[in-house]
Amino acid sequence: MLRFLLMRLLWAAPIVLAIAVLGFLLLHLVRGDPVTALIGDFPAPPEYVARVRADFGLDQPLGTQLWLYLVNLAHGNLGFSFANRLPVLTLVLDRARITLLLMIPALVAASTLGVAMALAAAPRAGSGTDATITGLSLLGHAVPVFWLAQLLVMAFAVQLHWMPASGMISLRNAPTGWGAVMDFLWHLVLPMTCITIYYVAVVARVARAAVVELLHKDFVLTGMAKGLTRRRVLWRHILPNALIPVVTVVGYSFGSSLTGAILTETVFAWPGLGSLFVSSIASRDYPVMQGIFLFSAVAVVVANILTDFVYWLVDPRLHRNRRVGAANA
Amino acid sequence: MSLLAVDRLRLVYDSGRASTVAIEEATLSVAEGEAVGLVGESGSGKSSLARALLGLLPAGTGRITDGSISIAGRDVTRLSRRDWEKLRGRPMAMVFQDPLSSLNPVMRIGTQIGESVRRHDHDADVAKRIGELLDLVRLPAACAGSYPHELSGGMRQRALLAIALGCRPALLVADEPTTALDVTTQAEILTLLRELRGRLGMAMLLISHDLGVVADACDRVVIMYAGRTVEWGNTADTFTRPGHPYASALLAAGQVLRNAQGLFVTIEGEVGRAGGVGCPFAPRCPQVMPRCHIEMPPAFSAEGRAHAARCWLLEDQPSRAAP
Repeated sequence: MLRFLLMRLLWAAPIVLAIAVLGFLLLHLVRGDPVTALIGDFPAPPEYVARVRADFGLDQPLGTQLWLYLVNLAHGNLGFSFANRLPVLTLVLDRARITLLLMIPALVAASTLGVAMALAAAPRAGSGTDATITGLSLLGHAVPVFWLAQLLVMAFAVQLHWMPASGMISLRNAPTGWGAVMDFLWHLVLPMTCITIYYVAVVARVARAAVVELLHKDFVLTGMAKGLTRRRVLWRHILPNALIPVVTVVGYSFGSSLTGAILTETVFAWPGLGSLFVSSIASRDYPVMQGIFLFSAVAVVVANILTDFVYWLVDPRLHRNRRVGAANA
Repeated sequence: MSLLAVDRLRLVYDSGRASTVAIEEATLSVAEGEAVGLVGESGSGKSSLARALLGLLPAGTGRITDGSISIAGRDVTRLSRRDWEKLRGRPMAMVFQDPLSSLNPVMRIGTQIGESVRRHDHDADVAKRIGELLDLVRLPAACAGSYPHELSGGMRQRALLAIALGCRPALLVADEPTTALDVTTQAEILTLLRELRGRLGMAMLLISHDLGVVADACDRVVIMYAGRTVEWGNTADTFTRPGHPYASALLAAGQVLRNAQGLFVTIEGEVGRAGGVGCPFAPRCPQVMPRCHIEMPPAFSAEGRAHAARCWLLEDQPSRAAP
C-alpha cells in the first residue's frame, strides 16, 4: 500500500511543477502591464514606475522571474492579494474550506442518490420506471445550473420563505452553539440541492450501466442458484461491484468540483473559492487568480490519487495476490 | 418417484414480437442417487433446459409454453419468483461452466460459501461448516480468505462446488463443469464429482457436449438435438449400440477418428434449429427416409436394449420404451 502511494506521489510531483510553470507563463501572455494595473490610472513619473518594476523583480529576465516564483512557491508563498489585504495562500485555503463544506455533502448526497436510483432502475431496464428515473436524472443534468439555482431561490426562499436565499450564515442576530450549526445547515440546503441535482445524473448513469452489465454476470446466477433472494443478490453481490466505476466518476467530479461551483456559489453568494474567483477577476487580482489556478490543478491531481487509492481498496484484484498452494487431489 | 422429471417441455425465448424456440420437446428424469448425462451440441437447448430446471430463465424473455418440470413430486413449471427463491438450492443446486465469472470477484471464497450455508442451515456453525465444505472439495482451509482471482481454474471450480454443496442438495445440476478447464484438471474435477456422489448419495445431472466425460461419470445418458431429446438409456448400451443416426454420428465424431482420407470425422451440414415439422436431424441424416421430413417419430426401443430413440429406423422393433 505504501509503495503504491509513494509511486503515485512521485508521479504527481512533475505534474504539479509543470502546472506551476504553465500558470506562470500563461499570466505573461495576458495583455497589459501588471505595474500599470497596480499603480492605476494616475500619471506616475517614469522613475517611480521603474522603481516599482525593480521592487517586484519585473526587470529581471523571464527565466530568473520563473525561478523566483518557484522558490517562493516552495516556501508556501503564493503572493499577496492587494484587494483582500491577505496572503494568497491563506485566502485560497480559507475559501477552499468553505467550498468543501458545500461540495462534500453535495457529492455524498449525489452518490447515494445516484446509486439508489441505479439499483431501482437497472433491474427493470427498459421499463417505465427505468425510463422515468433515467429521464429525470438526465433532465437534472441538462438544466442550466444558474437557472435551476434561481428557480430554487424563487420557490423556496422568496415565495415560501422556507430557506434563506443566500449566504452561509445569518449575519444579523447570529445564533451561537447548536443554533449556529442549524443556521449553517439551513443555508446549505438550497445550494447543496442545486449541485446534487447536477451530479446525481452523472453517478446514476454510470451506476445504472454497471448494474445492468453485472445483472448478466454468471455470479448472479450462482447467487440465485444457491437460493439467495433477488434483493440480497442485488445488495451483496451487485452493489459492491457496481461501486468500482462509481468511485471513478465521483473522484473525478470531486477534483473538478472545487472550482466548478462558480455559478452556484455566485447565485447563492456562498463565500467559497468560486466566489473568490469571480471577484478576483473583477478586481484584476492576478496573484489570487493564479493561486486559484494552481490550487484547483493541484486539487485535481490529489483527487485522482485519492480516487486510485479508494479504487485500489475496493477492488481486491488490484491489491491482493496471495496464491494458495494447489489442492492435494 | 423420481427426483426430477421433465415431461415434454417446450421453451421459447421472446425478443420483441418474434420468438425463438429453444426447446421443442424435452423429456428426461433423474432418480435419487442417479447420475444422468445430458449430451448435445451447442444450440441443442441443453443449457436452456438447465436454467429452466432452477427457474433461472432470463426474466421476461424465457417462457415455458408446454410440458412440465417437477422436482421431488412438486410441479414447478409455473412457480412464482418468490416460490423459486424458497426452493432453490435444496433439493437442487447448480454449478456453472465458467468458474471465474461464476464467482463474485470482490467477495472472499469463504463468504460466498457461507452465504449458501446460512441460507439452508439456519443453526449451523457457519465457520465450521465452511471448513468442512472446503475439505470435502479438497481445497486448503486457507482458501476461505482468498478472492477468486487468487485461485487456479480447478480450485475455482472446487469452490463453486463447495457453494453448491453448502445447500445440501439431493440433486446437483452441473452445466459443462469441466469445459473451461484444462485436461488434467478436468479429470480431477470428474474424479471429485464421482467421489462426492458416493459419499453424499447425491444425484447428478451432468450437462456436457463431451461424450467421454458423460460415458465416464454417468449411469444413464440423454442425447439432445435441436431442442428435442432424441435418444436416452443406459450409458454403456447407448454408447456401444446407438439407435439414432445422430447418436452414431456424434459418437464417431467424438472418438477423434480419422476417416480413409485422413480427415477428422464430422457431421455434415449445420446444426438444426428447434421448431418445424418432422425429425430435425433429417436434413443431415445419412439414412434419411421421405417420412422423416413429415412426421417426428415416437420413441422406439430395440429388442433387448436398455435404451430408446426417436427414429423411424427402429420402427421394426416396436417395443415402445418409457423415457
